[in-house]
Amino acid sequence: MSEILRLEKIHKTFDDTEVLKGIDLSVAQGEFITLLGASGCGKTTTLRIIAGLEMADEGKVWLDGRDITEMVPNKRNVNTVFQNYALFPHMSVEENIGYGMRLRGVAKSEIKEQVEQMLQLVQLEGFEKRRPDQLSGGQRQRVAIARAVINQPRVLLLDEPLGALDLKLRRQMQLELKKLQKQLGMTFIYITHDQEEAINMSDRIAVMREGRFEQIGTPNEIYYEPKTSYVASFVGDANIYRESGKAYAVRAENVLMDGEAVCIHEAKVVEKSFAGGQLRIVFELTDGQRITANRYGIDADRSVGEEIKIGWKPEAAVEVADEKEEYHGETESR
Amino acid sequence: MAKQSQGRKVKEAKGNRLLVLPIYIFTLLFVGLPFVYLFLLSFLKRAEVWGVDFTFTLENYKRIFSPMYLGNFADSLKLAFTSTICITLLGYPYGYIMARMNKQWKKRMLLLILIPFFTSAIIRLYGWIIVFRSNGVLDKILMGLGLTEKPLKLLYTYPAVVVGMIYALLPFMILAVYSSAEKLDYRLVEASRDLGASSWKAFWTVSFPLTLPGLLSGVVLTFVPSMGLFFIADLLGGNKIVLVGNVIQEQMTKGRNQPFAAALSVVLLILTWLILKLYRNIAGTSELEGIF
Repeated sequence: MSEILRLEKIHKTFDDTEVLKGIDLSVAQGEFITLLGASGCGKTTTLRIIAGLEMADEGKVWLDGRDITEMVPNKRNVNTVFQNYALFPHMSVEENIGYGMRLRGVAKSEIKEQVEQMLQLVQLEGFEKRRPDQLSGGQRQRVAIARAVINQPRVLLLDEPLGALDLKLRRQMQLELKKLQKQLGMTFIYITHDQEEAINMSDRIAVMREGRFEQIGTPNEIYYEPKTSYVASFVGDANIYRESGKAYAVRAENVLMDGEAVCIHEAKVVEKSFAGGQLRIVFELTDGQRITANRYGIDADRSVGEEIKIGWKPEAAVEVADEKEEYHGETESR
Repeated sequence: MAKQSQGRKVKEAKGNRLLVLPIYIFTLLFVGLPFVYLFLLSFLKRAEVWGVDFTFTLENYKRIFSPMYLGNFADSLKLAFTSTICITLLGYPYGYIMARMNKQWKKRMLLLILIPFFTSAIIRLYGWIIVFRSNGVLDKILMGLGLTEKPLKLLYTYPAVVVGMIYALLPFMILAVYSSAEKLDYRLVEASRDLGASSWKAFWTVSFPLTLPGLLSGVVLTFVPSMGLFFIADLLGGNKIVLVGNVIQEQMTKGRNQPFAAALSVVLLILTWLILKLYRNIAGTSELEGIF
């Protein structure tokens, strides 16, 4: 696939804080790429630099082989779906969606036709005359997407577009967005702090941390072959097991208990919780390391204080670069 | 439990109403009653020597519709229009830019428009007299720079009164626009730029419509008082520019015709009310931004 967008050694500093520390990224035509990271990792700044709403201190941005580093936002063939939607409160749904085309001086009848198509695409027929404050969160979301997509940008930037929606609606919108992206064949750069969302939707994920990309790869690579302890602990439930100076990532669902062949570690159950069909058991090994297992089914039930043996298959442990720092914080919710 | 808390709410509401009662009494006594008094007074006759003759008449209102007094109303409206337009052109950019500044600059800009309020308005107007009078500060500067050859005699002219009005009322426009622009979500401007608007286009399609309520309430806050600020016309316009406010003041004092002054006031009030009504229709709200 051909390259559509490239970031080259992007640096950005705000008030003495270096937010981006030299970022390189190449995005292919038609790709769905997600920038995944905790709050403050620089993902939104990256997006704003691509949109032109922020200028990079150093580095270059290329779109379709053209240097757009210094270009004003309105000249860039890139559109954004903002986190808070940023719909114009003084315009109707129709006027909001047609805004970009009106600016380009497209004929009224043409705009009307296109807006109707868009409304159909995002399933909002009949909402033409409504104002943003008369819409639900999910509907506003759709308008924001339609308003950006109608301009047929080369790249669509989405800044946590589903962040404000409840879980159920979010799952539904994830599927719809993915479908829309395939249907339009448009390049999406998507921002989220939700690893599940990233894995569900993306062709590739770029895990960001403190202004750098920690690892860029397909969801499978990120999940099964994490390169660092941070990536392993950020994506999915992974244990970082340390032994003789090396660190290994072991997925919680791959931790086995008693009776299974590879159980070689003495352990004590220290915590147990039941989370919607899934049992979470925390063990403490004799050397004090804690390991979490996610198991299903009543057989897996153990009581706190019980001493058992645990282990994992050799192929379940992936050696990772130990950063002595794992991702513990709850994911931000805004 | 739900019932109990509901009962408490009702009680609280009653308590709250009691708390605001003084405001109602105050308003009734010092705003409502004077209005009624003014209204009734406007239908009475002037007494031969001093005071009021208690006989009903429409004579006062008939007199207003004579060319001379209608002319005063027309002059007042014209002046109000001129000063409001100037104030808008100066005040909107100031208020808008102030809202976009960082905290420090905001404070400085705000201070600049508030400092004059520490001195009496009359004293400040005397300052303008010193600037405008023949061979005054302005003339000296202009002649010193070689821009004019002889004194401009600006004092007691129409432009001097307009400048006085702008000076007195500009802060109201600035504050009204500022409070509206302060609330403007800048992300909307970014969204508009992102969708292809130049900064100019983004201003006219997003920022301006969204700060229009502030501008409109600023217009009301400057237009309405500028019809009545008689002392500005008095001090800077001499007796060449006679506004309704001046006529009222004159009839009240030198003319000793309180009923006629009352009738003029009632007409001015009706005019003001019409302007507020117009504002309500355009802005879709009766709330004035900035001051109230």
